[in-house]
Amino acid sequence: MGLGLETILVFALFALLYAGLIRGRARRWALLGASALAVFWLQPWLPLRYADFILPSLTLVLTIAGWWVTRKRGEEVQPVRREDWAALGVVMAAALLMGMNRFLAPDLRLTPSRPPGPPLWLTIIAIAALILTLIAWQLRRGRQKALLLGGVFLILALFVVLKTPALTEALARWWRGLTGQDQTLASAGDLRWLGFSYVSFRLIHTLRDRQSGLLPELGLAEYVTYVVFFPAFIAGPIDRAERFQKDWLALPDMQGVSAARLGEGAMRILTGMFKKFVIADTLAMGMALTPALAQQTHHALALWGLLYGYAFRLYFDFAGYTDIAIGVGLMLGVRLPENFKRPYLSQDITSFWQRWHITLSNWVRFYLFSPLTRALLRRKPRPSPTLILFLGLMATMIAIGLWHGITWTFFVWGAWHGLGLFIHKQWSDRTRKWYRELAKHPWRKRAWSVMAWFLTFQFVALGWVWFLLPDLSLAIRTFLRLFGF
Amino acid sequence: MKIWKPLLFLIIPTLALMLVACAGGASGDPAQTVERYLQAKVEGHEQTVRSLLCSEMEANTFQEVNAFTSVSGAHIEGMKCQWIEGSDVVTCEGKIVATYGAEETEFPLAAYRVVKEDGEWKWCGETAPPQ
Repeated sequence: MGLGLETILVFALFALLYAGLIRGRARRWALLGASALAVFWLQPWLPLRYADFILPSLTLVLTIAGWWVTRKRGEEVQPVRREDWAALGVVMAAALLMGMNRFLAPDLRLTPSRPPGPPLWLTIIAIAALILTLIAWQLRRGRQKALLLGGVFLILALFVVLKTPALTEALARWWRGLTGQDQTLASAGDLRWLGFSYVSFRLIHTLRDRQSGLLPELGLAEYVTYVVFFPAFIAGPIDRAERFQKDWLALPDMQGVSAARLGEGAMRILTGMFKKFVIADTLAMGMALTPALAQQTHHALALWGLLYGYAFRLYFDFAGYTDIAIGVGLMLGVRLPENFKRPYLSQDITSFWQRWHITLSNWVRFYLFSPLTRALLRRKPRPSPTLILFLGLMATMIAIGLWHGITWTFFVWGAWHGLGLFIHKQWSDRTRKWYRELAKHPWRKRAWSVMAWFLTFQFVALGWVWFLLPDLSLAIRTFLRLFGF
Repeated sequence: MKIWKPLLFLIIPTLALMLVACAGGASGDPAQTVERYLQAKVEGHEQTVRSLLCSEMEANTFQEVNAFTSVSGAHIEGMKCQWIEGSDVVTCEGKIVATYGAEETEFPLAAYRVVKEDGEWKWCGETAPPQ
């Protein structure tokens, strides 16, 4: 289904009905039910038989398992509350409801293709029950730490498989073998598991924060809604559980139809739609670089124009999605975090990463950069602070690159930014005094600001060459052609 | 709120869906499948073409989806399909009209093979009309 106009309209209508008709604690159940249903509804059609039903089911199974593993376990384990059983019932009923689409005529279905029959449903339920039973058994033996760590590794392993084209293709081939489909047609695109990237970030966040004791106690309804909250399911932002919990707890007291809240939400949705469907989609019509245009365009100036077009297209597309998600969230009573703060106006690359995909940057800083640099600091003999910074920045940015796909071009894109951040840090450390002096000369400072902005934007735009082009040799050729070679 | 109440959000639509399911044919009608397929092919609607194409024809997906992408104004006129009960053939009347440059070309609709995969009818290419 994806996030097209039809989807946005459904989201907005649901938000209006929710605000107008649903009261008190029922709001939480409505959000849970809608989010669980949306996991199936939003999943696009996949060529692998039943994959577009099984993958959303797995999302819910992983989420429930995540909750089970991250429950607070002190000296006395709290029994599962009745609300948690009810939440499990709602999630299972949502999956069943979508599975029942099998018995509907194709035009009436909410699922992208015909869901599997009851034997496969029962198999999925049996596997889920087995996983939860194994987790419960291990928890009773006091192995929560091992389970938390195992959970992180499991998600990372799934991530590697799904983001490595060769592995995804092999998995698709295996799947086709099971369902009797033509194995020679297997491709990496066969397994587009919608939302998994963002779901995995949220799951790892809860698993790691339970390890460190930072995670608040969450009910199953709260946990599942946090992980698969439908406005942010496709493209983020990546909220934090403790922040989400504040809004969740306030939902029953929320004023039903509040003109201010609905107005603000509607405005954000309209702004997002303008960014996405007017600006980004217009730029996409030949004004933004594509792999095909990169091969066909030989004039450096034209190539620069297309590259700038791509830079703006990417920003308006992604920022538009985020605005829509935040707008729908506001109408539902959940204020999702901001993800973009005019990133292309940044005057240095560090500031760019504080203003571009902010929730992702924060996530990797918290769960990768900080633990890694701390670990390096503890090493004996301790590496130099410059080396620690270099390794920390490179590893973090390369990880962000590989999150988009495990390919050489994303690797280079990550390394490009890692190196940029490192050089900027060295530069700013050595020019602090000069900067302070510059403040005394407003015109000189202004000229330097314009220069700094220009350089930063060029650096980011050049980085998009590695990000956009799927093939490293094409990326290098395009890069050189931009400079007239 | 009673604990069972949240489930009503989903129990009621599930029951409604069961009623709809019992009333309607889940596998769809072969003639309708062919009509939907041809319409999607003319419009270049990739997802519908892919979902209605039989496994045997999956290798031809690209050609099927892009059959009319380079022509203007492709549309179907007078489409009426009929399934020959008990067979795997759907015969259609009508034509696809497409404009190549300034020239209008007509493609009469023919007989098509349908197969049932996982209980659902799929379009599986052209076939000879029954004698």
